[in-house]
Amino acid sequence: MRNTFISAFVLLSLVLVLGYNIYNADQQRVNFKIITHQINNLLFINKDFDLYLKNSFAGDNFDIFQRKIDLHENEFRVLENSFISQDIMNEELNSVLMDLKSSMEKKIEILEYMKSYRAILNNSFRVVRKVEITDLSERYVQLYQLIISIDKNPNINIEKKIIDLDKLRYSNSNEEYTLKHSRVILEYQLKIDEMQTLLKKLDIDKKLENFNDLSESYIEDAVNRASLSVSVLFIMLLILIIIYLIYSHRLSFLINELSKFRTTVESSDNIVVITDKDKVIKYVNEAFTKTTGYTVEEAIGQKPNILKDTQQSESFYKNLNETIYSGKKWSGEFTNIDKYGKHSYEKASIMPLFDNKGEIEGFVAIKLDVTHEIKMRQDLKNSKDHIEEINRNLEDKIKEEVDKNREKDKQLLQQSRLAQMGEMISMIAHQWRQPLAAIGSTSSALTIKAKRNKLDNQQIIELSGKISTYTQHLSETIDDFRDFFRSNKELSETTYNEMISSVLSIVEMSIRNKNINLNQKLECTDKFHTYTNELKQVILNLVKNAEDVLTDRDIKEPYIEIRTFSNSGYYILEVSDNGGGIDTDIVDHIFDPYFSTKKDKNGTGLGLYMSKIIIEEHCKGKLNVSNSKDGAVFQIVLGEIKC
Amino acid sequence: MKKIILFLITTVGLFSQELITPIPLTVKYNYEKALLGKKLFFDRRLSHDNTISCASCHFLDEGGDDNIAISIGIDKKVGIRNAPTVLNAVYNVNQFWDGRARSLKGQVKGPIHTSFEMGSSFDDIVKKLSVDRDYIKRFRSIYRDKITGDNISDAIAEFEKTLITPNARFDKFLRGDKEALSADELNGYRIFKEYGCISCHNGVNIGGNLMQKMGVVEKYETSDFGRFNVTKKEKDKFHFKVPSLRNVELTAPYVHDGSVETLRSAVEIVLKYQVGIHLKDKEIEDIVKFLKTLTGEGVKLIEEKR
Repeated sequence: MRNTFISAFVLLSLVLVLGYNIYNADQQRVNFKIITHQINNLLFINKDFDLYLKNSFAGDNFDIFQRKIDLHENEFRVLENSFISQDIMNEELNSVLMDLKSSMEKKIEILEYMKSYRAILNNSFRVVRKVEITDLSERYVQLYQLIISIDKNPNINIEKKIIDLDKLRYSNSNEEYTLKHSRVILEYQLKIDEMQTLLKKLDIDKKLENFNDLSESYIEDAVNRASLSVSVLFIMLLILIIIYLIYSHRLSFLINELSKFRTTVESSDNIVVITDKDKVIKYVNEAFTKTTGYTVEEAIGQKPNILKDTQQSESFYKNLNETIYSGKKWSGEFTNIDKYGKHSYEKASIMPLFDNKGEIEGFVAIKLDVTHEIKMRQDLKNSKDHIEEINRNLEDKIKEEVDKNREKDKQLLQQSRLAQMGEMISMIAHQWRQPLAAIGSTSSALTIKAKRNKLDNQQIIELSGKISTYTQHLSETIDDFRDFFRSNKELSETTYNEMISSVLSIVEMSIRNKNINLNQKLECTDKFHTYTNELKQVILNLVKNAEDVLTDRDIKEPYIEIRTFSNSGYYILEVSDNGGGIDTDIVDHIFDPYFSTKKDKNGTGLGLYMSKIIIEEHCKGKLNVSNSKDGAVFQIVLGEIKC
Repeated sequence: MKKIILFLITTVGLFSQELITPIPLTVKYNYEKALLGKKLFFDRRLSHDNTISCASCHFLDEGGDDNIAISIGIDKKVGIRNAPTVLNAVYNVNQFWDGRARSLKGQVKGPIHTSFEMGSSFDDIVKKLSVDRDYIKRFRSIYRDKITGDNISDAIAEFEKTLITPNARFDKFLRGDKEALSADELNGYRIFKEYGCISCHNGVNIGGNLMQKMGVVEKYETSDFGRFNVTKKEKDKFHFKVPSLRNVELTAPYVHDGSVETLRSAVEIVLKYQVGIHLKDKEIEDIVKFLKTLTGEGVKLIEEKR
């Protein structure tokens, strides 16, 4: 505020100074005109007087003479006065004026003497004119002529002439007058010449003109200063206008911002209360009224303790006051009582407001009514407890379900086993059919031959031997199957080759009977630990599926290829066929339980599901499927299982 | 030779027509001030012992001077100079024989402060006059001021302005009345011009406008250094104001020390020392006759309007 005053004051002074310069210059110009006029007057008077002196040799009316002298004096005084009244501060001008004044005074003095000398000369001339020339002797005639034309002979050596006169004697009154008055005339002509010389020395004309020139240049200075002042003023004005525009723009911007803020505060959901430093409320916004029920009029002039809830402790308020009065911001929560006695909760920040001296001017409190939130918090807490309870229940339930699932899996496994067993039994049956048939026919042959009494011992040993072989074959088959399907819960060391030969011993016959080519590329000879029987079941499942699909689709020149290799610590087995592959829309579902493409042939759909379970969960490997250009490729990836 | 003389004479003749002018018939003045000045002029309280007023040395009905050689002041003190006439003094370029006052107003303080004249001072006068209600009233109404020396001088000067004597016979002649002068008087005027009297005595007051040396052609014996006493310049020794010749008939005795008793002797002395010529008796008489025609009408004192 004070800075504004100071700068406004400075600005005003500057404007005044410049304005004064301009005014001054104008004044000066006017004054100068006056002075020039007066100087011209004086010059004229001077010249006029010079002329007068030259001309009126015949006689002066000293009234007129005096008037002319007075003119000098008066006109000069006028000039002097107007000069003084203009208050011109210029040393040079002043000194020239003073010089001029003294010259004028000297001139007037000189003129006074001129007056008396001229009167004397005039008088003597008149007398001389009365002289009877005829009465004069030669010398006197000469003298007479000299005297009469004295003004036309300025080069006469007057002093010499005066001395000469002393030698003369007169012999009559005419000569007497001539002599006396010649002497007077010469003396006074000399005196007049002296005065004229003095006058010339004064050189008043030149001084007047010099004074005029100086005044002119002085005025010019002032005028130049004025022009400069005008320019400066103009520039200042421009700058002021620009500054004004900038400020006005800024002001309107600030006002706009401020009104935005005001609106924000007014309409904010937050309660805003502004107090002075004695905590008297100066301003509240709408939200205040909404929350506390007090109108703006009711609130202003009161203190915030109208909302005070007596349940809050004194130390709470003490801490609050200490914080804000020390210039710091306080944040916290209030419980308040509104106009109608209802409790409410507030989250508040109270900040001190500082004036531009850094002193506390007041406080602003921004509060948010959190009653609702507090309630919600409460509810939330309740919900949380509730949820925890539910959670716990859920955990129990899950455990139940998992167990249930396990049971189901067990059942599934069981089912699969049963299904497999069914298959196995059918396979056994299939395997047994031929030997049993062979046993039957042999036994028939024996019977027939016995009945015909064509039976000898050799034939009996041969035929019973055949029956034995076939029976052994039957028994081996059962052993094979039994071993095969025994689930072992323990890891055992084996190789792919072992397992594959075991599987093939069961299914090879069937495959060959269907004219399916069996290719084996067994590169992996590594030994590893795994659940051997279960793995064998999986391999069997894959081979059987390939067999089935080749048969179903009636593939020309069908083949099944079994390939093993190892790759960076993994043991890989692939079963592939040229059955045409798996349709892309079902390839993702083939490992699902109960999914079968053999539905109409009573496929249980468990095979691949179980195979996947066994490989991935029991043996910790991977079972993948992909399509080659000929058919499907099933890949088993096993790592060494660490127990 | 003769041509030159002729030329000079005619030019002289021509020019001398303008060298003396008649007194105007009326003069402008401030009536109130002049009335006040008149009262002061006759007021003896202006002198130290209340015996002398301005009128004591300037008899307005006897030519404006006191008809004695040297004026006498208070306590019968004798002065140093002859009192010049107050009549037509307004037309003088300066006042006093040594020209030390430039105006009528400036002259007033001279006699007042001179010990052998009025021997007083403005302070004393003001004190004395301040008990006079009439003066207080007048001063206040005219000058809107107390009684001061300046105001006193101003009032007296304004009164003196009115002391003119127009319509001298010579003035009438100048105005065109050819019958106003007799033949002798005319002759006197001619001589006056031709012999150079007019060189110094010219203008409206026929003198009073020039400081001149007393004793141009011949040395004049006097103990009074004249203007020298004022300027202290050697050049100014024996320089006195050329007195006005108007009413000269009435202003005997003559010359600065009043040592010349008759008009005729004055003419003779001036002719000898200033003009440097002898004239015949007849010529001198004619001059004197001429000089007597310079007496104007008596002063008409202004009166209070009733």
